[in-house]
Amino acid sequence: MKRFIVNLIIIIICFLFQTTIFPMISVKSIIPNIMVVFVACAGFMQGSRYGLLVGFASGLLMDIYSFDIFGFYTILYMIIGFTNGFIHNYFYLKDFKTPALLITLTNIFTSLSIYVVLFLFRAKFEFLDYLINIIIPEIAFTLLISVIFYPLLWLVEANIFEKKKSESQ
Amino acid sequence: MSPYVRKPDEKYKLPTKYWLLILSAISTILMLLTFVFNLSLSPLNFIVSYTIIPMQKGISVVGDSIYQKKETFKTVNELVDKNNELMKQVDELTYENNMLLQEKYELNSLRKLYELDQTYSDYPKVGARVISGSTNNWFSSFIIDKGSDDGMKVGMNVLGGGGLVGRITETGKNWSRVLSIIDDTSNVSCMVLSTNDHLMVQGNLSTMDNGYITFSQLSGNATNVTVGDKVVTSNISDIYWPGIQVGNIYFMEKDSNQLSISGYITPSVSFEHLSEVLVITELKNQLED
Repeated sequence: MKRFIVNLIIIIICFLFQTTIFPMISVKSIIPNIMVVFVACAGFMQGSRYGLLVGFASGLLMDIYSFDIFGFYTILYMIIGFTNGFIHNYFYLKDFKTPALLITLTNIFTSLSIYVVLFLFRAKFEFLDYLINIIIPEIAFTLLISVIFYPLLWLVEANIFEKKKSESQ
Repeated sequence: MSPYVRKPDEKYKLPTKYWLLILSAISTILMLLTFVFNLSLSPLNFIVSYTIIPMQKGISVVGDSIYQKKETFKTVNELVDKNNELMKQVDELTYENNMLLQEKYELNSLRKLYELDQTYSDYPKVGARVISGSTNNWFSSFIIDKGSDDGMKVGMNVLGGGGLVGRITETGKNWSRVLSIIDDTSNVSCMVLSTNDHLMVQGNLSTMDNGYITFSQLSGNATNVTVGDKVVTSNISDIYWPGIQVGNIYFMEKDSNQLSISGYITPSVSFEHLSEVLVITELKNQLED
């Protein structure tokens, strides 16, 4: 129950950051995708089940807010949370290399899915333009933000849930 | 996935992969329902109106005030220079304004003769604050802080900084979503101000990075249209009121079929830091209801 509430609060904070604060500090109107970072982190930090639920909640929030095809982000984020959960048992909190790799891979997967489903199907073939102007800057910016964001999540995980505490000390 | 042995006193838990399937199925059904039957998601919108929107309003107010503080820290010298420059400009503009006013009186009297008294300055407008941007980098829509309680309706035109920003595509209790004209899915029926040739303006994500959007379907016979011409919304559009400025032609080229012209338009509104917009509170197709 505690986990549910804490996760919900983090989702709302991430969402507020993504929609109000990041646009204010955006570079060439590119904003980092912190929602994806949190869904991926929830997956490998808390396991498939919580990854799935966090993905569902944040995807639903995105869907209410953003695009006419309702349900697209919900499914996408659930898959992200669920798949990242497979790494849960082989994962150490203090090491940032694996999470950084996973976050990047997840971000690439998200961007490609959005491009294929919402752009390629409307006959927009300029993939290279999108890659250079949107996908790569977004990934770089997201990775930069997650350097700050990941230790915070790690603190939450270690102090509030006291999980893997022996490992983190 | 290791085999899972249940202890006698432990509750049974449905494996996560089934949860994934169930929730995906629910989302797919919702997707079909909203897509095919145009079902509105008002209960969910209602929840958002009371939870997320108030927080976003707060943050945007604080953010704006911080931005304004930053502006006041500009050096005095800079301000004095700017002031001198602006005073000069005021003189020039006052003169120009007088000239224009004289012409306006003339125009008004001529208009009265023709009974054409509606221009776009006459549309009833209401101001709104942008409280939230798009959730990702792929679409350019944003949320404003006025909703159905303030009389906002789907399809109303949104202006800002002297030109067309977009239209309202969804309204909640105290918020509305505005689809901007630079969004990749947006199409606006426009015309060239000087020659009244019609064209379609499409938002384009890949060219917006360089600061312009695309247009097409300008007739190949429109030889009087040149680069730099003003483009405004056309009078045959279903949604947009006529005569609202959209932008200037930046580049044009004959299509390979030799029948039509397409090219780029620089939008007249700067979309990067849009914080306040004006909504025209009258729908264009209201009369047909």
